Amino acid sequence: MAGTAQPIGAENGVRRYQLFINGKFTDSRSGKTFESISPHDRSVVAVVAEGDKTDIDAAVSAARGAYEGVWSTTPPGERAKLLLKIADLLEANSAELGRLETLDMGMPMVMSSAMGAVSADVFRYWAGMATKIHGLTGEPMRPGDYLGYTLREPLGVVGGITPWNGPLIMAAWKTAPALACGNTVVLKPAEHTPMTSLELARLTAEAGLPEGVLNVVPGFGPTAGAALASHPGVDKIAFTGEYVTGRLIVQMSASNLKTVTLELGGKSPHIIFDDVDLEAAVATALFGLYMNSGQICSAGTRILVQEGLYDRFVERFVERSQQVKVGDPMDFATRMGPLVSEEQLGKVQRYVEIGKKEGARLRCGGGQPKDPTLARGFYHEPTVFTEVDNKMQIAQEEIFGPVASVLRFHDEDDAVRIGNDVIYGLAAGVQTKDLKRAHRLAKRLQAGTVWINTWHMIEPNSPFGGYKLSGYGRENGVAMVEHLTRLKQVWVDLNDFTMDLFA
Amino acid sequence: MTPRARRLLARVRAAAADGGEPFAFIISGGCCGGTNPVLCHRANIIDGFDVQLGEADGIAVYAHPDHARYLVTDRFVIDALDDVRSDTFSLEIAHGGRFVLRELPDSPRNSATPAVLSRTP
Repeated sequence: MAGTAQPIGAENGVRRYQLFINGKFTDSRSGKTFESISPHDRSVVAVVAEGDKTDIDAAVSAARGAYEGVWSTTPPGERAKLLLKIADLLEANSAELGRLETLDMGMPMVMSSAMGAVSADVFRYWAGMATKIHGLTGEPMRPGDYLGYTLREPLGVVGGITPWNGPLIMAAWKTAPALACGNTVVLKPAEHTPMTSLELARLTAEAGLPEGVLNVVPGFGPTAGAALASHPGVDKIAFTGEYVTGRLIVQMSASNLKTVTLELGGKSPHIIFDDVDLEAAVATALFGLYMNSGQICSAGTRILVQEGLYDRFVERFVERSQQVKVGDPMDFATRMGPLVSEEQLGKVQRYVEIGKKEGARLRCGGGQPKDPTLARGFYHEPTVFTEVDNKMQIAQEEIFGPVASVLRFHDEDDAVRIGNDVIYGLAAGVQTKDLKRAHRLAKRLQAGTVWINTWHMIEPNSPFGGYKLSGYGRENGVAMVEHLTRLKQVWVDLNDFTMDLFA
Repeated sequence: MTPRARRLLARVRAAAADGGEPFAFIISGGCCGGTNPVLCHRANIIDGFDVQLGEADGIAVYAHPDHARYLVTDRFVIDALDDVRSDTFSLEIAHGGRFVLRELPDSPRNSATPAVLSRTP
């Protein structure tokens, strides 16, 4: 059993993290490390071991050993108990996990402090699922007495590659379902935000998860990530990230025909009809856009407003955007913290310039906040562009920041046309009091999730994934079992005679 | 391509084995690592599908055809950051830097910036 994981120390406030391979925290074989930086003030918050191909090899080997030696034969009920223990530990450590998440990526505490409990829910859902995964029985089509049944078996070793925008919950999505289905896991967390994935590893060891069942190897994309994606000992890769890396993973998967699921970007339309309550519509639009400083793939970044409501909506939305409390994410009153990195800030600034050049009207924001206490951080004001045409780059490309593109539409057909005219299809939303219209749009919108009069409802029991360049496969919910297991058909001859064709 | 990006590219080229695979850029989009030039091998390009937007320092730059529709009017340069933390598999990350896009200023195209991307006919 595991138990050799060392408590992780902090010196001068800088935490030190090692790789987690075969139940032990260990330095990378190369001895290399990288720093994790607070986006609030650019201070170093952690020094983290940098894994590469050699470490991925060791982790995959540990995962394979644990799969064949322990985990694939651990009864589902026992797997469920361990997942429940992990869930309890996540919940018990929620405050500290939230603090680390905020230090690492700038997610406001009001959101990050819930992530331990939200991740615990993922583990509990999958703990329940572990005991409900089974095959079916069937009859043959031909005459005769035969019994047919299917065995639903784990895939083996699953590789998870996570993004930085929700480190702990993404780690939960990549590990809990795979473990519940009887797979072992090698997780490669995002370079910006490795801390909570390694804390998860520590908690799994504390819960008694056998050595090698979960391995966590932080490192960089072209070294650690690519080594995992192309590894012949890995049976499946689950990736959340951007389009080109998604397709590089698909190309790398060709070697051993591992299966792949991809959750990529989005540019989700938030369609607001003129029959809504204005205050409620604005509140939902603010929530859909500014959560996590807009760094959510399914954020409602294209706000489509029916022409009769457009001017009134814009006036109120701009007013409320200017009132969003931007500040130190450690403050529970803060609703919007910094962006994760200088690079991300640069991207947002670039799109603001593009939006201006394209002729959209900048109604508020567009720069960094004036507050001198935020000057060292990667902060960006809530920003609203109006009079946006859907052909503009700011309407088509995912900015991944607190930037709204507000567009005008005429009627239902127009809303669907504009809503679907984008390369992504992760989420879409409709606000209307007209029940029939809402459900008609739910059918017509090309998106993996459609929200009606709400946003950001993403639950462990409901499938999440995309259309078009937002990727394929689904995470969460019963449907995910299909992506983490394979079927074996068994036939049994029950007849009292033997068919001896060659007599 | 900025001088800083050229220096990073030179390091990548120096580390590649003699006669190594040729490189290509693909402009990525979406999620955390999106809207970045991803340096990969020419073999990763899907001929007849990916659209070539131009060339940067001798390396062809491509995009998905639907994405390319919106990029052809965009004029950008490829710059580099020292921060290697990224969500992409871009090859230069292993060599101490990372390519990013920068918007060109409003000024007319400057001949001192030879690697400006423009749509190929």
